[in-house]
Amino acid sequence: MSAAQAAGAAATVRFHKELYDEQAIADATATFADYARFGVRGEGDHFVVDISDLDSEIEGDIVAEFCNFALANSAALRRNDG
Amino acid sequence: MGDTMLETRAANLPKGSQVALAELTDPAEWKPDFAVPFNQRTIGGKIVISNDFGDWLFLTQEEFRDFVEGRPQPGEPLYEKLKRANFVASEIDFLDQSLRWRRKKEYLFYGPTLHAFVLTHRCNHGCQYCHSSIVGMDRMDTDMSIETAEKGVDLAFQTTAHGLTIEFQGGEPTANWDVLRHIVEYAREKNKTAKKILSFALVTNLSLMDDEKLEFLLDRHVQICTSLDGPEDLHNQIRIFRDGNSHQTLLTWMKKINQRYVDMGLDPNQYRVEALPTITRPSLTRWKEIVDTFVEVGCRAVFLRKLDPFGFAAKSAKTLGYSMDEFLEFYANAVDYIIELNRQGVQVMERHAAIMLNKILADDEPNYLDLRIPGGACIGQLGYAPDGSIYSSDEGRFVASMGDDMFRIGSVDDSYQDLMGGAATRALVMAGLNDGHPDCVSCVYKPWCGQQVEYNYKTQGSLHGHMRDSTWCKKHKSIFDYLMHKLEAADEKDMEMFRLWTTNRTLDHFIV
Amino acid sequence: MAQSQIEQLDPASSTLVLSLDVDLYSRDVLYAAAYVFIDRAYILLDRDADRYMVRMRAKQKMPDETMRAMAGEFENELLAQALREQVGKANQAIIEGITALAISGATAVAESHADGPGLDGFVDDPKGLGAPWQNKEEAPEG
Repeated sequence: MSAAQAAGAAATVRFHKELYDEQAIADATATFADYARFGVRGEGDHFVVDISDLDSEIEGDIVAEFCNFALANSAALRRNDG
Repeated sequence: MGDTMLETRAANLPKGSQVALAELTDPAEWKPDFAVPFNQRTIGGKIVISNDFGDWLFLTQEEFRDFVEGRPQPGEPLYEKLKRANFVASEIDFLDQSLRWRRKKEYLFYGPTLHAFVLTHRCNHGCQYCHSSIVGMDRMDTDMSIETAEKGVDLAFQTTAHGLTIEFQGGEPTANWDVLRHIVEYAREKNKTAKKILSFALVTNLSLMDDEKLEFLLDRHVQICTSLDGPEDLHNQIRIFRDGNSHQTLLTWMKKINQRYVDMGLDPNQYRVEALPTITRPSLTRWKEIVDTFVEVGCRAVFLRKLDPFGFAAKSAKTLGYSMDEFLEFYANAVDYIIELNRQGVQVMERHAAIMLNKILADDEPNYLDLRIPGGACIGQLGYAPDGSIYSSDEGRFVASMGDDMFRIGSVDDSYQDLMGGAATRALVMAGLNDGHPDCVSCVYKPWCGQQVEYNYKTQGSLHGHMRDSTWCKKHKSIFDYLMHKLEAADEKDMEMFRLWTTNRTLDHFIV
Repeated sequence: MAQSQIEQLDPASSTLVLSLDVDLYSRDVLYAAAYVFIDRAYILLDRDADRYMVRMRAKQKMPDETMRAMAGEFENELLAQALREQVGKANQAIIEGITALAISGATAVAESHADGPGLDGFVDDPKGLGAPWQNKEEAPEG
């Protein structure tokens, strides 16, 4: 999780496969698609999300907010899937 | 996005908090099979618990510990208290509770009751916060046509609900008077065979009203609702009317219409023009004057509506907007004042509070669409645009006016079955369930709260929303907290006042 | 009685890292507890061998004591969610049974409405504008 993004900045986040749902991550990338570019790949126990071209005009921490969305989506999906 | 809760808490709004379980109980002592599923929250010095049936109790910390640890025994006061409130699992009467569930979830078994027809986008006011894509009075191309109106009414009558309310909105709906008039006559004619419980409501700024229109509306039992933002200078500052004084025009017609109701032999306590305020930044310090204005014009209820994130309201957020904390502080000041007026014998109440108390105290489900599960999108209401597009709700149409057709579920040319059974409707209904929200399932206010998917989408970019971060959740949880603190501290007179607020009766005269 | 452990507490970066044994609580309890904090903190969950790691960065700068209080709140929230889960496992069937019973009776109730106007949509108040100030006892029958 980075601090406020610089122009065109990039970041990488690792989500443990046991704790984050792939669909939840995909939904979060869709929510934030206007503010950065996302690439998701599997790597061992983790989904690795490469985030680039972060929109520098947005106030706040896009990467950190994205992480919260991925968590909230995972929790919600797990509830809905029973 | 941008809907986070970074603000500090309104100082005068009492807040509930997490129950300090770690200090109160030892998990090794828990007896989970004693209780039905429940949630809890600290309110003042007490702990309020609620269950999915809508029962609730205030417990002391000691009582709560004993409850969690399954210690109360039959015959003991605490056990009997818990049993009466349906918290003891072994004492639940399945048939009683199923009938109760059925009564409160009645709305699940029929289609939309509220059908909002936008007759035109034209308006002669330039209200700074207006939702809709308002155009000038010369833009008659934005009017709904007779043909579209008839198709819309035909569709509305296909609802499986016995009750059917056709609401006229705009723009200023009376600007398309011929179509309004035609819809009323056409629907009344249709109802001779359909035999629905039909009613009409008109949302108007009253500025185009004249005696002929009023005669028609009174004769056809059309309920009249309007917008009143408070005292004259505040109202006219926000609701800009170039052809005159909006406030004076409004009050003149309100007075005249209310007098006509009296002349018709209707009870003036029940029948009057319904007025609603929208709270803007200039309103925030003027809670007393706003309430006083409503009392002076004879209104018995004030619906303190927060500026919402749709349409023009979003564009003007910087000048008219405010944080949720600022609204909640305003709300607490206003309702504190309303309570004080009640203690002095003035009959006036606040709508949010009344709706919530109706659920909490009276065990009723008034089917208020913004506070029910699932939400009212599609299955509680439909919005009909002038071009014949059908939206999930008013709010869905507001989103469309911002260039996003996310909530357009079809058109008047579609069949009712296709609209109700379509994928869009199913998705909106599913998103409007709070059992899918991680925060809602563990919230003590779950049995009385609700969802609005359009709000989630607009503020958080997702139909499902994240309630912990949502101003929708914050607003409702805070008002519930406020009311729970009032109930916890209420004496018998206050309780009687709150019970009176829960009265919700049908205005028979407006049933066609 | 604390069952989560503070691994890192850094007020300078407003970062708090907690760990807990993976066998202590279910993932649902962990999710639900973490979710409660997303209005105040940015959260990343991870697993390191047999420990769940909960990394929280406060959205606003917090002094040391507030961050310790947040750790205590997290512990408390884990307990609250665990209690909820246990009661649900024991007795959620009651709620489901009642709901099933209520829905199974719906057809009969709906048929009773076929004789004439029912109550649906009649006593409803979809806009929240129902008329107040009449005692229940005086209210007309639907």
